[in-house]
Amino acid sequence: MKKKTSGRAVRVDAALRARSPLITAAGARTLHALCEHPHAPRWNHAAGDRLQRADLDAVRKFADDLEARRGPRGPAPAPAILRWTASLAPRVPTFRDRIPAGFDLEAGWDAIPTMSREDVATRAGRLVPDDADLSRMIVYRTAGTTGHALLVPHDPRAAACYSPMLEFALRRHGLRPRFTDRMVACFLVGAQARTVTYPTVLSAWNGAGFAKLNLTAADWKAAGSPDRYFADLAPWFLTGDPVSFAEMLRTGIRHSPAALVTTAVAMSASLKKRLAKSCRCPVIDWYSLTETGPLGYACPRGRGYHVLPHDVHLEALDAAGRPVAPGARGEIAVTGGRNPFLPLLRYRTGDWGRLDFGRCPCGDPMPRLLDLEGRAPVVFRATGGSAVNPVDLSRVLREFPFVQHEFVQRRDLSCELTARPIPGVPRPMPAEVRAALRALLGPRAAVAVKFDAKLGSRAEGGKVEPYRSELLLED
Amino acid sequence: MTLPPLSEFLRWLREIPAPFRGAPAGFPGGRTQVRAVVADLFETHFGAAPPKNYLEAFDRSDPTELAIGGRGGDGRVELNRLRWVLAACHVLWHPSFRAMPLPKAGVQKLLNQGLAELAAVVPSERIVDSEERREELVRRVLAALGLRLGEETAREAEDRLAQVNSVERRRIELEAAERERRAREVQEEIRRKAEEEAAAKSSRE
Repeated sequence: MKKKTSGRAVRVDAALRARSPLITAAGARTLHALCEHPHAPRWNHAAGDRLQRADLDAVRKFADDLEARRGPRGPAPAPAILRWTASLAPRVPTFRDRIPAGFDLEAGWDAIPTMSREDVATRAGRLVPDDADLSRMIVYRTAGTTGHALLVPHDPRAAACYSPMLEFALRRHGLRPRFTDRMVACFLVGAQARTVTYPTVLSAWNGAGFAKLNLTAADWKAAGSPDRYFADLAPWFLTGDPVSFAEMLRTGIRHSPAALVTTAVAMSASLKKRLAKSCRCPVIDWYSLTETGPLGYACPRGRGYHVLPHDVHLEALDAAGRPVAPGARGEIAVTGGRNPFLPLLRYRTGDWGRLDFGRCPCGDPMPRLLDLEGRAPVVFRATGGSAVNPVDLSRVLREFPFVQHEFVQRRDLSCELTARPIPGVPRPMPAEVRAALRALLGPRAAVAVKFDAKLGSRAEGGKVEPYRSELLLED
Repeated sequence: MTLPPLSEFLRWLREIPAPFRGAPAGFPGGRTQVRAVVADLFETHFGAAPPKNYLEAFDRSDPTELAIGGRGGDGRVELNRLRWVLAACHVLWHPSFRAMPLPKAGVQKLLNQGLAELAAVVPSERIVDSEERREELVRRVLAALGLRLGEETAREAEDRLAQVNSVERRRIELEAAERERRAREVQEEIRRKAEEEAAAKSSRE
C-alpha cells in the first residue's frame, strides 16, 4: 500500500538544512516528491522539525519513557511531578507568584492557585523560566475558536514529541507503523479558507515525509488534484479534525490510510462510522491542546481517553480550583509536560470531564478521562455548499474591535452575528462586518449583524458560545 | 550584662557628635581621620590597634586619588562608606559595649565588609534623617557582635533586622526589576517569533 519514493539525488540547500538539520538524501527525495508532484497543492509556507542530533536523542528517550514510565496514578500528584514543580518554583515568575518559599507542595497542592488561558494570553512572558535560552523558542498561534487566539511559546524538541505519542496511540489500536525516509508518514488535513500549508520530513519518524495541507479548492490546481495527490503520495495515516475529515469525504478523496487520528473537537459516532467505512481504517480520537500538547488518546476498548504522556498530572477541579470528588465531573487541569517555554501548573483547559483512576481492561495503566466535553464540532456552509471552518470566521472577526461575539448559522444557511463592541472604540459599520463575513460565506449569504453591549453579562461566568450551527457535520 | 533597650541606642546615634557626622579627612572640608578613629576603637576594646594593612581600608587621605576616583573607584562612594564606618564606631563606643568584651573578628568584619555593602545602597545622610536606618545600623552592629537587645528573642532580632535590612531590600528590588525586564524581553520575543516560521508539528489541536 505504501509507496516508496526513489530517484536521483536532490540538493539540500542551506535553508532546507536549517529547517530540517537531520534530513537524509532519501528524505530529500521524499520531500521533493511531496513538493513537485504535478497535483501538489500550492504550498504557502516552509517548515521543518529543526531537530539537532541531541534533540532526536531526547525525543527517542521520551518515546522509551512513554512506554516504560506508564503506571497507575492517583488524584495526588506523583513524586516526579512534585520534583518537577519544586525545581521550577524558584525559576518561573508565574510559579513564584503561586508557590511561596518553603511551601509544602505535597500537603498544600490543592491550595496552589490555578493557571488559565488568561495567563497565556496576557502574561506569557511570566511563564518562561528566568534561565531559558530564548534562541530556540518558536511560537504557535492557537485557532482562536474558543476565545481570543493565543501566542503559545514552544520548542522544537517538545513539538517533535508529538510524533512518538501518535505512534503510541496507533500501536494501542493494533497498528505497527514502520516509518522510513523513503515514504510519506502522515498528512495533517485541514479544511479552512486559509491556513499554513507546507511539506517536510520528520526526523522523529526516521525522516519520513509529512505535509500539512488544506482541502480548500483554492489551494489545488484542479478539482481532482487532492485525490490524485493522496493516492500517489500515499500517506501512511492522516491527522485532522472532524470538519476536515468530513470535507475529505465530501470532496471524494479515496485514499485508504492505516488510520485517521482525529483531533481538536469531538467526533460524532455517525461521522466516525462513515469515515471508517469509507477509508477502511480505524478512526482514533485524540485529545490535545496547543498549550498542553497531546493529553489523551481513545481507549481501544472505547472506555474514554487514556492519559497519554507519562509526564503530566491531570486533575478535575471545581469552579474554585478545588479537586472534585473522585469520579465527579470537573474542569480538566494539567501540570507538567515538556515544553520548556510553557511549564504548566494546574492549567485549566476549559474542557470538562471525569477522571477515572481504576484499572482498564485494555491494559493501559494510565488514568482515563471520561465524558470529556471538549469543543463541539461546528461546521458552517457557504451558499455554494463548501465547508467554512470556525477558524476562518475567527480570523475575520478578530480584525474588528469586539470583546466577544456569538455567530449562529441556521439550517437555511442564514447567519446572525451578535457582537459586544469594545467600549470607547468606534464601532465598525454592520455593512463592513457583513462584507467580511460574505467573503467566506458567499456574496449572497444572508448575514445579520447586530451589536449588544451586554452580550455575555447575562450568562453565567460571562461566557458566550462563540460559534453555533444548526447544520450537522454529516450534512 | 544586659544591653539597654533599642531606644537608648537610637538616642545615642541621634546625638552623634559633629566630627562623626562630617566629611572624613581627604574630602572637601573633612578633618576626621577614620583610620585613627578605628585604631582608637580597637585600642579601647581590644588593647591594641589592628594591623596596618587592616587600617589601610579606612585611610583615604590622598585627595588627588579621591578626586579622580582612584582606589575607591568613585570618591562619593568612598565618602559614603567612611561616614558609615564613623557612625558604626560611634555606636561601638556606647558605654554598654565598653563595659563588656566584644568579639574582635565580628568588629573587624563589620567595619571593613558589612558596612561597605550597606554604604553601596544607602546614603550616609540617612543616619541623620531616618530613624529606620539608625535602627538598621544598631541592629547590624548587634548582629556582628552576636548580641541582642534584652527584650528580644534571637528570632525576633533576626526578623526585625530582616525588615529593616536595606541591602536585602535593594537586592529584592533589583531582582524584581530584573525579572520584570526579563518578562518584557520574553513577551517581545514571543511577539517577534510569532511572525517567524515555527517548527513542523504532526497533529492538530
